[in-house]
Amino acid sequence: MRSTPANLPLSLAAIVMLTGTVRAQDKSHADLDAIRPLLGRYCVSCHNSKKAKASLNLESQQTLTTWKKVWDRLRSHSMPPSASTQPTLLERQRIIGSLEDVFVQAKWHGHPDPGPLPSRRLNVRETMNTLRDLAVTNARPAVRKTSFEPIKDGRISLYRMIPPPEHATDFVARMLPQDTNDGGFDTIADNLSLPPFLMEKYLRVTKVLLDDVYSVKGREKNGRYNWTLREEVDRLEKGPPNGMTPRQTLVKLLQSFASRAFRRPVDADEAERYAKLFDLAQAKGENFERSIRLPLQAILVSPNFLLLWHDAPRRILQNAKLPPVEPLNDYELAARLSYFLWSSMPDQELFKLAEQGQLRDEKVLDAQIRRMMSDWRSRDGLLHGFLMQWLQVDRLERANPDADKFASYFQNNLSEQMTLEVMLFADAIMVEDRSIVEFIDADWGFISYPLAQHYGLANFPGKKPSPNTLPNWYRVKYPDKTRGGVLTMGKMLTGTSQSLRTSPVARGKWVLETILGTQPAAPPPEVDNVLREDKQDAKALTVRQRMEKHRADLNCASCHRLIDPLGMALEKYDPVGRWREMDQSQPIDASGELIDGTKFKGIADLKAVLVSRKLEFTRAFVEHMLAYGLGRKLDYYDAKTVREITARVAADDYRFSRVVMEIAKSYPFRHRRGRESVD
Amino acid sequence: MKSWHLSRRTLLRGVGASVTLPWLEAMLPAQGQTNRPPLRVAFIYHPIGAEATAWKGSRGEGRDFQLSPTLSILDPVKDSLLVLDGLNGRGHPPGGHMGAAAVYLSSASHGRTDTWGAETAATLDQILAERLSRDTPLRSLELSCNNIGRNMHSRYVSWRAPGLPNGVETDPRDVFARMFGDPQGDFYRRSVLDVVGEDARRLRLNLGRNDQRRLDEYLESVRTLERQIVAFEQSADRRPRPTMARPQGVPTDLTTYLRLMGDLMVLAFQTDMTRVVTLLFGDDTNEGTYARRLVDCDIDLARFAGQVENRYLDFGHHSCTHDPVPTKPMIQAFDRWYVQQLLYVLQRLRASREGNGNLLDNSIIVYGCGNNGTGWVGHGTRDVACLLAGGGAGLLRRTGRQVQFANGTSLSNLWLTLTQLAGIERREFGVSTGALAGLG
Repeated sequence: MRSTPANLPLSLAAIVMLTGTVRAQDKSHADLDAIRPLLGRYCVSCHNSKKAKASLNLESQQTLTTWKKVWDRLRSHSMPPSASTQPTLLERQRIIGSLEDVFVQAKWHGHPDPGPLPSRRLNVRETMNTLRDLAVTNARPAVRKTSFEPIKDGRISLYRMIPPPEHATDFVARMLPQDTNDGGFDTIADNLSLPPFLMEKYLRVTKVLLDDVYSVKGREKNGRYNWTLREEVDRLEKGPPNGMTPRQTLVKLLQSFASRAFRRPVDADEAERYAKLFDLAQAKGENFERSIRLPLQAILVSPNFLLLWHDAPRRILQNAKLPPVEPLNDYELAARLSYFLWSSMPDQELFKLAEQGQLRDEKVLDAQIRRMMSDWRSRDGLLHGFLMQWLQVDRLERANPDADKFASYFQNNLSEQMTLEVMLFADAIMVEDRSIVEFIDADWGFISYPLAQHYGLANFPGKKPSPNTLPNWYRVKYPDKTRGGVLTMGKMLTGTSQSLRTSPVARGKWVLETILGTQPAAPPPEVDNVLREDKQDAKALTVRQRMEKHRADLNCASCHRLIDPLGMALEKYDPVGRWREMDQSQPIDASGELIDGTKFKGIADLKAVLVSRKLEFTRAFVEHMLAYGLGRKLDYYDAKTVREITARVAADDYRFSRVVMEIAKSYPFRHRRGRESVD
Repeated sequence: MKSWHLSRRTLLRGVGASVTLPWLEAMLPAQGQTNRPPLRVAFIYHPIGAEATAWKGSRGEGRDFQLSPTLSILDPVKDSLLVLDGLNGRGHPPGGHMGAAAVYLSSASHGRTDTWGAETAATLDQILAERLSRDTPLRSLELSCNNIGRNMHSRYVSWRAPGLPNGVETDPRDVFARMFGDPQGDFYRRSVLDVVGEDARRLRLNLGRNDQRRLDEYLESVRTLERQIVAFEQSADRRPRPTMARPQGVPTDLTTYLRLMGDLMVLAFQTDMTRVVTLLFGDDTNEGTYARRLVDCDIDLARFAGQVENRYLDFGHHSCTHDPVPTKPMIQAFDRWYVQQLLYVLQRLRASREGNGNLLDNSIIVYGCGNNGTGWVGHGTRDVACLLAGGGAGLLRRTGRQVQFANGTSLSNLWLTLTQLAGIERREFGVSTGALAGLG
């Protein structure tokens, strides 16, 4: 696939994608030798054996991890620095493409490399969902019957859908410290360390759970939830079934509870260790309730429960004696699937299949993934876990529009309405199994009355809601390109704005990160972004003038040539996402030129350009979801998986479910490195 | 300071649980000695932001001291008040007024943000605690009557360091246990820790080097708690006795809840458990099902007849501020209700005799918030609600007046002044521009 300069792809990620997929994969490190002259011309003058800026010497042998950094820097255009001679786009593309070819062939002791599977604790969301699934079963049917088809009067039914229904264990999120999601997701193992005070918090959280189990909530029969844990414990209290001593029944209950909590079978000996706590309390004269709480609590704060991926009992051997790569065992695979798709523990069916060793069967696995996607818990996992974090909704929520200038934004609670808009749209793509390209451009969407008013949409299909009622939502077709897809949603446009003006930089950065999957480098330390913007505010420059000014600065130009045009295309949306034609009493010019020379005139063109580069977008989407599912940042050894999955998704009309299926069935998802190091 | 401690404790040991107040006249040093009762400082947070037209307007001093409509509730204790007007809160972090709590007591200078994009820093209470609570069992207590939502920037006013909130106690039972222990609970907690510690050691044997790190973190977390329990046990007989019964969980009634937390704050000062407390009457997340409505505050809806349309009467405190004009009387009612709880706390302090005076004389109670109350109540930062109560152990001699500061004076300057009053040498605090004159 040769590109002529005239229709060169937008950013280098695209180029990598296009060249990458069609290259033969059996090349050797000749790839690296082929690009040495190019590196010599553009990189080695700083990164050589004498100077080695940033401790990088490209004249010597480098590990693939180092090459990965080089690759990232080149992809994001942060190297070479703008003051130095720049490679042409074609040259940059060659370096990146060749490096990727090297990555694809990476091996781990002669095997394909699944990458490490670092042990981590459950994050707050997962703890919350897992405790819920351990203590209560939902009164709702497991299969999700969501439909976004309009009902009789034209609106869509949000029944038990959105906003998220009451969560039986939502106190967890209030009691545990917030997780960070550096690297995009709260499943990344590096973010999930255990600070010293966490044990105290876990003891409190589990105490509240057991309080609930024993309170009125635990007793309610016709309530929202069935408190299964309470039922089990009650049975135990009533007395043992015939032929068993009370003590045996106790161990049996703890054994089954611990098996569920630890996501693997627990034998009687192990359960006995917890049962001793019951004895201890009984010896102190406690009643049954106080006594049974102790072993249950111990199970819930045990590392067996709190940590994932720790229970392969085979590391007693020397590193060299371990198999280089091994498949996850059945229980681990079940847990990996459930935490990927549901952000919660495996259910009975998964556990049973693991027990029977059936999950290794491709057909069974396939059916299970489909079943899990149609289960309502996929809303906890794929929607709130993955899609919302991918779109950075948590960050966008920090928007702070000016309360005087944008009063209606607050009066109509638009922040919440805008979040719902994103959520409904993302959920519909998932539930209806649509093409992920529709995230960029779709001619449909969901709208409520206050939002339609805000956007200035004509022909709102419903009526004005009466005061103090929650507005209904309607599915609409948009007449033109000004709305449709996540780029033009209020949440994204507001969340990336300052309180009084738009920020093409923040908007461009958001597009780069989520849609194109490139992480722009942070501004150099000597640049004081905040102050400069404030001073210029006083001069009432238009945003465009401001942008042009900072692009004139050589320090800023190299990255901002990439970032700003993307944001400028969205300039006709004001700081709270309304359509506008004027800024500071001057007509807005939303045209621009992308880094590869493609010219555009506003949002319709931008959408068209991005859609035409859907392979690049798909690749970014796959990378994001793979990192979320694997619970780690991606590295060079993932290049092959990403490339393969992207190709398969493209071949299946970019369907959402194809991405999920391919990731859940991928090699790194089902294998782990056996040995830790290369020695 | 040390000698004061010993004498009180010796006494406690002798008299045992029958003692209700540790500070007895007999323990007072002879006149003229400098051995004064210690200074206590508490920060009580008024959620959302007070409606300005009713809050502002206090004037004069001494006999001519007139309180504004909202503050008139405090009339019984007005001679202990310093009403400070004209102070500006620090600008909101990303996320707007919801994050005001996080920067309230640090008024962090601009520049370095935590991972969530907000500029947070060690807060005033923590800086004061280092000096004031040197000899007390607990450095500080962080209490809140509302710990809802996930946004840490709206839930915590006390921060150890940038990005590190101190967390809050919301259950009166837990607050009590933290001060006076829970021997039975500790015994069981230790038994549980023994078992799970053993779990971790077993797992650790099986793991590769990288994953062992996680188990080490886990074990460290277990040991931290064990050390806490041991330290508590060892100091048990040296601890003062509580002067109230052990509370049983969170009261369902909101008024009772706020007052109980206030009681616990007073108890902490009475028993000299700590000298610095932060207490949030509520925080700035007040949304959805968790919103505080008039009925939650036992406010009679009938009194708004003719003033507020019926459809608003069910609005939560925060929702009202988004329709501030038609709901103004409601917002003012919320404010008055909170100030009523403040009055309860101040009166409790004043009823606790200590030395020649009472606990209130020996305290500085700072009441207010970092959000202002004009226009969009609680959404800006200009001229925030702020008042001091108490004599500050002799540091605040001229109470009972209103002080007007020049427009634009930063709340930071008050924080700086407080650190200096407490004897900490500091030239600046957060975004301060200089100490306030005429407080002492």
